[in-house]
Amino acid sequence: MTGMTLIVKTVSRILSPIILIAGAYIVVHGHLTPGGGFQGGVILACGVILLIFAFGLQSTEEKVSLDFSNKLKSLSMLFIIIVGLTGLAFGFWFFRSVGAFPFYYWVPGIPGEIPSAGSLPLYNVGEGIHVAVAFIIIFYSLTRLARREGEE
Amino acid sequence: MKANLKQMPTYLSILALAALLTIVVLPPPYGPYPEFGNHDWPVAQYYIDHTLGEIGAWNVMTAIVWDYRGYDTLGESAVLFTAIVGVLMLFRTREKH
Repeated sequence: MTGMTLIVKTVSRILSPIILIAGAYIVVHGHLTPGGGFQGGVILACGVILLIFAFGLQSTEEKVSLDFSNKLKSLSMLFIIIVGLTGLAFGFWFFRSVGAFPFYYWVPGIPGEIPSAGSLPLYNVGEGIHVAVAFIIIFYSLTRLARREGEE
Repeated sequence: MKANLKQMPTYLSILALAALLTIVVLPPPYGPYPEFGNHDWPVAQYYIDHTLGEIGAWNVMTAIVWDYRGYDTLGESAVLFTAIVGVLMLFRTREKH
């Protein structure tokens, strides 16, 4: 798989960073605007899947390798659980978003700004990375399977 | 299988007892059940009223998903994690030597 024609390559070279930026925007503004970790993560994954379509599996895996995605998947899951445990550490219950209005413990912030709403942005970032990497891993696996069956 | 069929009345009576206990015991702590078709659930109004004060987020959905029902979302993430592990196990490629 060497990829598609020059037109497709050029267009996806321009479009892919814009898609990634849009996904990151939706992940980071998850506690302010419609969207969140899941939705932004899927858009982030689409930015990479577009590269797989245009440039082929080989050259995409040089940039985002499968091992790297695997590690990021486990680390982001661990990150979500650790951020959830901070609620316990500050004397509340599991998954309490510490740092909100009556209890200014951590990342107080003004409602409406990005570093606000306690630990919700951290949850959203962890979940966004998790979902993005999950879809990339699944797409890698399926693409490899299709290529292997095409060779045989 | 035959033993299970023989014990069927026991299971049924246990189920009936559990249902009865659920109906009889549960309402008092949480108040009476709302009328059927009446959508005046107090929990939804609580979320709308208290999200900005307690969580400080504009997006009420995110506050519900990640704070009030964090366990649910953690389970969803675990389901996704398990799905990836399953995909990796099923479609693993063996390098040709």
